[in-house]
Amino acid sequence: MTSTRENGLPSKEAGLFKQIVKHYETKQYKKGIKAADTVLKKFPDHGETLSMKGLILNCVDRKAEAYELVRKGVKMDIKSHVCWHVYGLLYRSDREYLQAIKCYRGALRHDPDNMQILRDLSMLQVQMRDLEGFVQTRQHLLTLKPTNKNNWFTFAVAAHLMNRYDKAVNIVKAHEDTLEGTPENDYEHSEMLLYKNMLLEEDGQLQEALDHLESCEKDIVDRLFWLEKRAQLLRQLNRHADAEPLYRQLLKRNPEHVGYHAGLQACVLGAGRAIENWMPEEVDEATEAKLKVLYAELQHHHPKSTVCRRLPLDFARDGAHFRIACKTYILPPLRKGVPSLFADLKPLYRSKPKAEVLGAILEEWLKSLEADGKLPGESRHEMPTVIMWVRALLAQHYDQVGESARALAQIDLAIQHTPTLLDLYMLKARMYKHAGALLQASECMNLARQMDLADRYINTKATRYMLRANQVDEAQKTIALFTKDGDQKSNLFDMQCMWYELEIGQAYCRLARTDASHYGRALKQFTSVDKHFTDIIEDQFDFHTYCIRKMTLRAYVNMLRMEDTVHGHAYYVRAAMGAIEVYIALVDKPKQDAAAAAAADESQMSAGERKKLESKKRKAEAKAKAEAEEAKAKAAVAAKAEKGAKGNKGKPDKPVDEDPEGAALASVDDPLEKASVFLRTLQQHAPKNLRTHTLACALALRKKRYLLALRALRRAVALAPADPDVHTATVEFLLEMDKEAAILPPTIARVLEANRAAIGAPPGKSLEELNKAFLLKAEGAPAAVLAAAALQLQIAPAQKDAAKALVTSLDPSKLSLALAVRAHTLLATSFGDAAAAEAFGAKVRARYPLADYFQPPEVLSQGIQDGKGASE
Amino acid sequence: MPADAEGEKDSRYEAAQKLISFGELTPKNVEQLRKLNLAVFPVKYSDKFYTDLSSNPVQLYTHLAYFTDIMVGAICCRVESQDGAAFKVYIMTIGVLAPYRRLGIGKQLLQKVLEACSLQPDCVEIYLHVQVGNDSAVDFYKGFGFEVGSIVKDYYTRLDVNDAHIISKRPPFLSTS
Repeated sequence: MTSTRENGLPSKEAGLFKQIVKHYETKQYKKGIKAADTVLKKFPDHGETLSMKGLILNCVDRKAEAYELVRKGVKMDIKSHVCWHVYGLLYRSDREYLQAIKCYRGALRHDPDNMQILRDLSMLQVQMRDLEGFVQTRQHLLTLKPTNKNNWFTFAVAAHLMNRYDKAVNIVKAHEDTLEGTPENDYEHSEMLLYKNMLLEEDGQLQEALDHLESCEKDIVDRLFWLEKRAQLLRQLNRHADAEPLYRQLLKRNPEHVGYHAGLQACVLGAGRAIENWMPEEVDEATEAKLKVLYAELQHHHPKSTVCRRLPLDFARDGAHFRIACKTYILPPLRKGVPSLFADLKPLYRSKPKAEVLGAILEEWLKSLEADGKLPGESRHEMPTVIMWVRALLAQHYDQVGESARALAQIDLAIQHTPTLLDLYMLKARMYKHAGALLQASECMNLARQMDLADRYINTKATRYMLRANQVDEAQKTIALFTKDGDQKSNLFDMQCMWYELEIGQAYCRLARTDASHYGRALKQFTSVDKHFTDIIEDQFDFHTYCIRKMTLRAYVNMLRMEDTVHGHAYYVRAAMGAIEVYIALVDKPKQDAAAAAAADESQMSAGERKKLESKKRKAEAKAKAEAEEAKAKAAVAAKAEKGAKGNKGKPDKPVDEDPEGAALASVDDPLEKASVFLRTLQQHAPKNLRTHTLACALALRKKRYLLALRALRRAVALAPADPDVHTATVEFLLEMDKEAAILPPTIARVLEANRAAIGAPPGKSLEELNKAFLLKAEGAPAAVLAAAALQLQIAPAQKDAAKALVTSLDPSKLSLALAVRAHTLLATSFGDAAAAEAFGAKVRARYPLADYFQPPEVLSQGIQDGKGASE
Repeated sequence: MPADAEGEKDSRYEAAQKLISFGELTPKNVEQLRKLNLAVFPVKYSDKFYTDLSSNPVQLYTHLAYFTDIMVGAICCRVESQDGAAFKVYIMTIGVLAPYRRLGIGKQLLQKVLEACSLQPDCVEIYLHVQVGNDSAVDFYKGFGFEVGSIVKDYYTRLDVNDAHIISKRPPFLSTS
């Protein structure tokens, strides 16, 4: 960074100042500070020197002083672009980009054509997606220095991001026109042409894109991409006859590429759309016939290709065709022993007839192998592994169709046959999990883990199963076997190991139902995931310059688009929803406890006892708080000690986590506000997720922001009007409104009235009628019946028995395990009928005999001690 | 312990050969050996048996057999020092899971140990115990040139027949009878 303006120093000090800048740029911070101090001795108020010293102090971790000096520098020399620029750099280093942009703008006021500052500004603008500003800045830079290639392409990308395709194409063209002779770098030239092609295609100019592609064939170094793109464009232009040979050529290169298959199929069928995964209902007879011929031919040409044998299973409609296709596909990997074979068949279970055929085939094979060691219609004796793998497949089939008992029996036979194969124990663990026996599942998976201690995959699986069974301590020990020694927690955080953070966070949530101290730990995990996503966004920064320089423009634009939607990723959504739920629980729990205490109080407790209990509770709370503070203080001391011990090892000190247990996170004053922050991100990035809106409604109700609740409900209803959760949210909202009717501001009441129809509750219809109508429409769907029963209890507590009858009338054998659990909880808690709950539980037990939830407590604890069932 | 019975050749014998491979015992996979032995032998071996075996850095006399990469057989021996540098090799266990027998796996396991012995000039004998009455096992070892020696009374403690033959072979280890 050089100053062109006369900076008001005599020549000796001006020379020193230049040195300071140089020392900063070469990271010789100590020398820099020394030089700055020399200048400041004589000119203590010299703005630019003050700023530079601040900037250097920032690099040696003296942040507070840095800000002080830099601010003083700006004050002393408010017209210096250097001071402003330094101020911006300081903010940028703290990721305060909006502040940094303001400072850069301040600097440009005094030196509007400073390229360095303009470049820095534009990087912040694209990072913050101030695209309007980004285009302007890049245009300015291009006019300042049109000889720089990067300036052209960054400007083109800027226009592209604004969807100004014509402009972007013209910029690339204009740059192309300035080129003379043969390009210096083949790769960069080729990338430039492909980027232009991307612009044309995205602009919808398919014909132009194709013409352009064909015209630059000899300049493209990425031959495979060129072929793929040409085939795709031809197909999209409905020139199927021209595209077909290209797809065949591509398949010759790689017969396992599902995308090529989809393209070829579309050409052969003359279809407008390429389909990679056929749904059974999409296939008609004519399609099936054409594809059948095609794949007979492809299998002949590519005898080793798995995909050529697999795809017919998707589009086969006819039972006989499907049978043959199954045999052709399954036999080779079955004989070879491919443990993941079933995972590849699982998508077929969307079609019930196909599932039945698969089961029948496997049963036939097993019967035949048991009889004479041969498969039906085959003359050779199969290897000993074949019958074992058939049993494993069949067990997975039974598991998939919900027959846990048969699945377990079959997998046990496979284990008996080959007890040394750990994959079988893994499958068994999964079957236990599906049967609701989480403890046995965890135990069995751990058994598999012990059989190969060098296998990270099985170690990970075992950890996950432990967490599902709420065995947090065991899980932490297990995962630590594969992390760096001694530094477990921060290691997993540094590795952004999000599946683990989510699973353990959710385990803490479940544990928190009985011990509220776990809420903090859960929050800690969810916030970690949130931080990872912030980092992912942050990590873009370096690529803004790097990608342009390397000319990977297509990948760059795709990366920016990915970053724009990254908060819609399932991991983020799970973490944010988890956090919101915890915050809501933190608000609700004290209220519920108070209500429970009051109820207990009314029934039996004497005034004295109550006082005792309350004082005990207060003491416990005070103790918990004191402990949290103490832990915090300890952590701070430890942090200091560590810092001291490490001293000047050269490595920057890692900030020590002052709240490892999340106690501080869970004791914030405004949990609902904290939840709202997560919610806003969800509303922006996961608007299609129903739970985003039901959570929004729950949150708004607790904040008494009724119009926001209404808006959330409208969105939920628009997504899924018949969903039981939406119905529940709607009725609970209206119940609350009835309660608040007297104190509701008239404007809000009016808006509410006007919007009732939009949330499916037209005025004049009572809540009871609304609930009945919902129940009628659901036609006995168990989830809906449960929701309606729970609501009826709230709407008309007097008709408790009718509501209860709705629950008890459900057929347990037709309920999923989760719904059975919900029904049971409803009976036991909301209806408070232990006898009915037990009777219902007994019936569920017949359907799900292994499920932990429905085990009598003594059986469960004994089962764990004996290692029942899991070991042998 | 007795070895797997070697009867007539299986029709799958030839095709099976290329699916067989061998490996070493390590602390990481010792649990698989335990599962194997539990399935093959009526005797349950102690934890020490497995830790000693797997922590041994030199695995000349312990081999694992794999069929399509699944562990299906193992031979485990220990070295017994004699006077001076001389030593004997004692076969503690040799076994193959029932469905994988008659494919030559046990034979190859024993062959591997015999080859290892033949490379050690100080190895003076290899021997083992076989339950009295297990004629197929005795025939199996005879095929490798082993000699049937004296009977040890009550070698086993909890089986139907508790007496055992001592079966042994001296150099040259690779000769057959």
